[in-house]
Amino acid sequence: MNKNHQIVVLFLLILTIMVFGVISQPAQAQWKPDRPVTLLVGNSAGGGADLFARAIAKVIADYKLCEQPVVVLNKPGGSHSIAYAYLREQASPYIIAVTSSSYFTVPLTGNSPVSPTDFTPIAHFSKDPNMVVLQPKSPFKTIEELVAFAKANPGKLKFAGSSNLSDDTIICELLNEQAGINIQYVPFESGSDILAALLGGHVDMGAMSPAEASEHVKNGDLRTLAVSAFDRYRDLPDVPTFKELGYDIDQQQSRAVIIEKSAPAEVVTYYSDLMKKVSQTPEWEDWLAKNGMVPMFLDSNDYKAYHQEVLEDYKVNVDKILSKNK
Amino acid sequence: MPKKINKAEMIFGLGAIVLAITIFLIGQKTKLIFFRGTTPGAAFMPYLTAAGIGLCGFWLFFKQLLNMRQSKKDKTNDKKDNNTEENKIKFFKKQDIKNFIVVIVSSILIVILANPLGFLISLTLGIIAMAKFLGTPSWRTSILVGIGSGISFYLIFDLFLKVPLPRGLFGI
Amino acid sequence: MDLLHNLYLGFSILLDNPLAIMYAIVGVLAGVIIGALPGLGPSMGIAVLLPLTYGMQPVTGIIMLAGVYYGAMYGGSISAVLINTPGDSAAVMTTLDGYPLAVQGQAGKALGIAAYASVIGGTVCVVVFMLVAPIIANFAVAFGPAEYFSLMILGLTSIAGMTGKSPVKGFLSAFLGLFVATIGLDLVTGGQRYTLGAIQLFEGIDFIPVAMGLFGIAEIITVKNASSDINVDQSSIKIKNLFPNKQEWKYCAPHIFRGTILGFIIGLLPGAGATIAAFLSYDLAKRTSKRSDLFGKGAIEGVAAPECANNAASMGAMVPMFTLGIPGSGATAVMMGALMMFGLTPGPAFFRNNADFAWGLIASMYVGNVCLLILGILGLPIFIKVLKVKAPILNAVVMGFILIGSYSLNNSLFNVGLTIFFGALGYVMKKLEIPAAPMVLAIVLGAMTEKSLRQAMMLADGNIGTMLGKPIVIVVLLLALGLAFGTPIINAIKRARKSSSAKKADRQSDVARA
Repeated sequence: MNKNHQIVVLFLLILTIMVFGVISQPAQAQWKPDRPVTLLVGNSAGGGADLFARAIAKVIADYKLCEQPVVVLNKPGGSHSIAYAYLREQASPYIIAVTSSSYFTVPLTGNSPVSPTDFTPIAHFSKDPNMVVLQPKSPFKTIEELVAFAKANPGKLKFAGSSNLSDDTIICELLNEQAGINIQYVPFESGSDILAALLGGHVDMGAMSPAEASEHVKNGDLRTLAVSAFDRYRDLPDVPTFKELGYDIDQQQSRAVIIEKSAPAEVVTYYSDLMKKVSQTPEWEDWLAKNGMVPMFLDSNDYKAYHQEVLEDYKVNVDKILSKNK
Repeated sequence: MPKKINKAEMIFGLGAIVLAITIFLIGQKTKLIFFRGTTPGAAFMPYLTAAGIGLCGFWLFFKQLLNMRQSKKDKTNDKKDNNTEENKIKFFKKQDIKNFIVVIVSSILIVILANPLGFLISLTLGIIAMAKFLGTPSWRTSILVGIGSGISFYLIFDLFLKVPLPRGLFGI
Repeated sequence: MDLLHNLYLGFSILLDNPLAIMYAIVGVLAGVIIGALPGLGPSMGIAVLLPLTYGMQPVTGIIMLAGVYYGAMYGGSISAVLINTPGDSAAVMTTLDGYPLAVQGQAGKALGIAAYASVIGGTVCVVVFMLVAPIIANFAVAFGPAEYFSLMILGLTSIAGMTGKSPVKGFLSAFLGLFVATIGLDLVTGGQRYTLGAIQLFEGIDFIPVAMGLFGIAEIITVKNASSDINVDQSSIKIKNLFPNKQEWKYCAPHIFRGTILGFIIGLLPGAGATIAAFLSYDLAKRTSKRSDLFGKGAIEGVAAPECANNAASMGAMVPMFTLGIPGSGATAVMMGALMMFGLTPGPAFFRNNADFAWGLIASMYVGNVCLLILGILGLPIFIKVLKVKAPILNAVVMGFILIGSYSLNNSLFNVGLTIFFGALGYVMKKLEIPAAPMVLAIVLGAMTEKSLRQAMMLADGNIGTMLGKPIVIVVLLLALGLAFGTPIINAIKRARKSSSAKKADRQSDVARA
């Protein structure tokens, strides 16, 4: 072959290899972060969402699930609204955020510049069951006794819950609605305040996370009424769910991860897969169990529909409560 | 003995009264309720404190008013010039105003420049400016102090405490 | 005796694990440094060092965090004394007499007594903690909203006691603080109050930016004459002078005694913590001291009293945390989170289930307190050297620390802006001789006062009689009334007695003459 021929053959060979190379690529480009990922949290170090985010970051780091480091960033303020506003404003594929109930409730009160429609859900991790407990000297042995007393004495029983609009408020409201009674809801600031008020007998009942309450229940310092969840709480199997007692109450806090809504589909898929891997590790399951949370993993496709359902639910309940306040 | 008049206190007293009224007006505008049924509402505490602020402000103002009356009386009795410098309490010493402007303006600039330039850089610049204009004779010392502080802040707050400081164009 | 046996057990665990002692020292050291930086307090210290404890044994981890906790309390006092910038709310009271002492060249004494008082308060309370923790837990929860409200009223009436020259100015400052405390989202109705739409104000205005501005920045702006770069007597750095002399001990001892008891009791109550303890103790000291007019100008008791109270309160706050799982303050809340992370659930069964851990921790508290003392004394000459820096440079650098510190609170430039605003306001107030301490204290107390009042009213169905009719409420309110009106009434009685005895003497002399 003369030189020209050789060059042409070489050229064709290279071209063929290149064509093969391109054809053998998967149909859609796989997105991977090439910069550190920020996991945004709306409260300060030590708060519930913060611990949750740090647990996620730790699992990712321990099991090396992501090539880039995942760093937790706290942006507290405005009941998590500042963090969500920051997420929307930055609109970056490298920033995701954890969510809790305030993600749904605060925008419905008009106190937030952002709302769930500004974001795309990535994955849903778990639910926090809520336990309704009674103060240690409570005379009520069953829910029927409590309801009967409440019917005869409207407004007399006091229910302690955190903040003026939360899952606790909704539970109290639903109970009032479905039993036809009037228990007065008194807002407190945190689970510890509620615990202190209960132990001191200053309120009749209150909502707490089962993990916080379980030591005291086992010790006999707190009496239980029911748990607002899908199933009974593992550590306290004698406590019935509201559903078992005939009430349609299973209000729980959802813990999920979101990203700003203009993120491309590949980005969402990447994070969704990442979170799925996190949820499947034994360390994660341990952590959820230790903190009394119930696993309920939904990836980005499944969570989309559930997200809508949860949002509608909150809308209805929050409207009920807000209209009462007028 | 002539009583000293403190014009600044009068102004502050008036200011307090104005503040109290503003609190009340804003409360009305945002529809805060004073008492809801049997429980104090959202406006309870703000209005009470506004009343307290207003009363204290009024007292301050009134006291100085009385002092002015008194000194006018003394003036006619004493024939001494009661508006001498000793009687007017000097509110602003020149040096004070200079310090005030230097510190406050530098700080505000540090905040404004924090996002474009990065917090560490704007802090360094601010400290250099403050050190110089608060009285350090040489620029060299000020710059050294500024850079030294900047580095210390970086070590303590960025590396040790891992505080996410605003980063600017230069990535710092 | 069971107690001694347990303590021996605790110390032996520590000795088995020499690393633990090292971590205690590291914790205290880190705590002191973080606490000394304006704006950073125990909660930040604990939060920052928390990741370091992930791989550790629970005992070692908690020992380190506990060290950070009371190291930070002492650290806050350092910046309070040296640059008039309280590192945390409990240190506000320390600035009142500590800073004047520093200006007079007595910074060593002030810091020295602060170290001693802190350690005495802390150590005594470790003992008390050991003895009574399970028993008094029940006392802590007897305080409900109505009782807290009465306690807040007691605190607010004490503010009247520290107003300096003009009570009206003090009250004005307090009312301003109370108003600032209402800014934010309302707890009960969820509506915005005076936030003018700014979401950064929804959670209210934290007292730390306010304190840094009112105290720290205002001080920096105020002119010092050229000749008064803070005078540091070379001689005051000698070790001898760091020990309060006998006379000073005599002044301080009763106040330390009272302050420790008061601090521990207040610390027990969840939610009422070191701050309230510190200023009730200061107020008590001022009222019971023979040198009360020296308070505010550099009375050494004015440093000792709040310091021992705030450390005692920190120990007290651990009681409900360990025995009931109710954290008494922000810092204890973070610690509790750490405990739970280690798989240890604080609560009534804690001491029973985790005896060795618990006693090891208590033993470590002794060690920690001793470390604090040694560190405090050794570090004093270094701390004082800070004051020798020329004023403009010192001021500029401190401003830098204040600005970055207030940012670090919430990662928010808005807070920095707030600090600057309150700095300007603080300057104006200083010129007008309106005291800043009532404002800061009112911010701390105001939120809890209003919250407790409204909760109490809701629980009592609006019936003030029911609300105020409880035993603890009555006792505390009477105390408050006594404090508020006691002094004038006693003075009036004294005057009446004086004049009647004078009249008597006159009559007698008349009779004698006649």
